[in-house]
Amino acid sequence: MDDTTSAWNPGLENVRADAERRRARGEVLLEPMVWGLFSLGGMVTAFLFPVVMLAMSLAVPLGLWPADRIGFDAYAGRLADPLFRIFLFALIGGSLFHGAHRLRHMLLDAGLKRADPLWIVILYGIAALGSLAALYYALLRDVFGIRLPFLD
Amino acid sequence: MPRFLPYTSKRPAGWWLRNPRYLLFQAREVGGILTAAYGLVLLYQLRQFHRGPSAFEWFQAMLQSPPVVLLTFVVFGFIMVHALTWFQSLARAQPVALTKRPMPWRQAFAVTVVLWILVSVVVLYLFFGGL
Amino acid sequence: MAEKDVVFRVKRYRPGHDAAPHYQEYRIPYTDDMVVLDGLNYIKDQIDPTLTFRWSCRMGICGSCGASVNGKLRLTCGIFIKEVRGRAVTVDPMPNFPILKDLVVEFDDFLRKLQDVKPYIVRGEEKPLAEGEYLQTPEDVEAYRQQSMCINCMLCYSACPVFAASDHFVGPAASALAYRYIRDSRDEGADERLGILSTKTGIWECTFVGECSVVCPKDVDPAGAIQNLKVLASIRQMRELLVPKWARR
Repeated sequence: MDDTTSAWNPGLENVRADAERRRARGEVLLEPMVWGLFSLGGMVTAFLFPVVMLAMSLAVPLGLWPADRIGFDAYAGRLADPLFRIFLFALIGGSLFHGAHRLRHMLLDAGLKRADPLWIVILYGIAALGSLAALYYALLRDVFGIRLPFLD
Repeated sequence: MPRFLPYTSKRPAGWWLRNPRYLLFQAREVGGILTAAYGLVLLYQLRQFHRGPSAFEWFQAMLQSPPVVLLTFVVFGFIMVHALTWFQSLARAQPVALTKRPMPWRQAFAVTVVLWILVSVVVLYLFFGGL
Repeated sequence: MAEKDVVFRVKRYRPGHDAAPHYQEYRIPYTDDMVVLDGLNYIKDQIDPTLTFRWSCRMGICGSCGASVNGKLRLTCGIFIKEVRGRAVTVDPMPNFPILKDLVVEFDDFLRKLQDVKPYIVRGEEKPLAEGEYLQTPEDVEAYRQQSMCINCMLCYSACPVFAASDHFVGPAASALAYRYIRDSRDEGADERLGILSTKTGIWECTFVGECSVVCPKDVDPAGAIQNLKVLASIRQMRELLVPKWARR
């Protein structure tokens, strides 16, 4: 017997045909993509959110900073830096996709699996729209001069 | 011939109360969702800025009111749990091979925490004028 | 050694006779060198021959004797009676599987999933025997060694809350074994396996609770393996979407 035949390798011929059939049946397109966004968002929120929350929301009540450090002029000063604008966009976009993915999986885990198409549209929809709004407010509007009256 | 009747049962609703790791997992999930909540706050704050000083200061005053501040502290607690468990997950999974062999996870966790502190300090000085 | 007593509370279930599982208590003598499995065997030999449970090697390599001992997922051959805290040693069958009888659970589902991930070397072209063996360096072996330690005991499935709610989930052990073969330098079936795993009931159901890796008696770390599979599957999908067919491979 020619020892390159599939006779003694049970998987060889079947693997590709099997995999094709199975792939046709259920391979997902959405999951890897949203997982990638979720992971990116997770990095952003894990590394950056604690300090941002402290600075922008908790330092003043804790008495560490005077109130004007989170006032209008201080904020305008920060927005002068394009890097801060990108930073804000990353914070908002990352956290929205991260939270949307987690909430969707919590709902699926709680048993609400049949409404998955609904969760996908609502949750990732809010995340996408929020990210686009952040893109507009942080970058498109002031840096590129684009105006969308319904968002202003 | 006796009938074949395997016994099946559903997952109990309080499964996550059964051990501290499950509880931490649920807290992590809630923390992840709450980051999106704060993300929406940041978005709205940005929008209010564009509407002018009075709109912005109104929103800031609302955020600094005692009940909201209390809520913010609670959310911050969850966000810290989320951050630390995220670093732990990175350390456990080590999905990007930076060393020849996977590091012991506690070591990888320590490295990640140090990195986080560094990043936080940089952000504090770069965008918020330092301490 | 002075003889000590311990109470074993064992879950019993007789299909066709019992409506639901219930505990039965046995008081047995034990010594410090007895494991929980020894206690079960004592009960079966001396007290109640109807008690049914799986076991084989009694040294933690066959993977037969998984159970829940005082709420902790263990191989009964791997935990000493004296280690178990509390008034009694409570032994339950592994959760998340249908109970056939007493401590014996049905795991046909797992075996089917294991077959689905092709747990053997898959090659595009077999190397003829005349050309000799496949060569691997110690580093090549190290890449998959950890996941190759799996003994199919299925404690990880019992620990997994996702599998508990959704028995379609391919699960930790099957994924870890798929990863073991993907990482094997002799294997060329990575693409096929990632396709099989990248389904709604594949690795994407996992939310990285991590309990599977905590209970694994052989330190296989299926949770880590699944996260790595997610990265591989994502890269593969991006390649499929962005790189045209003629440019691949």
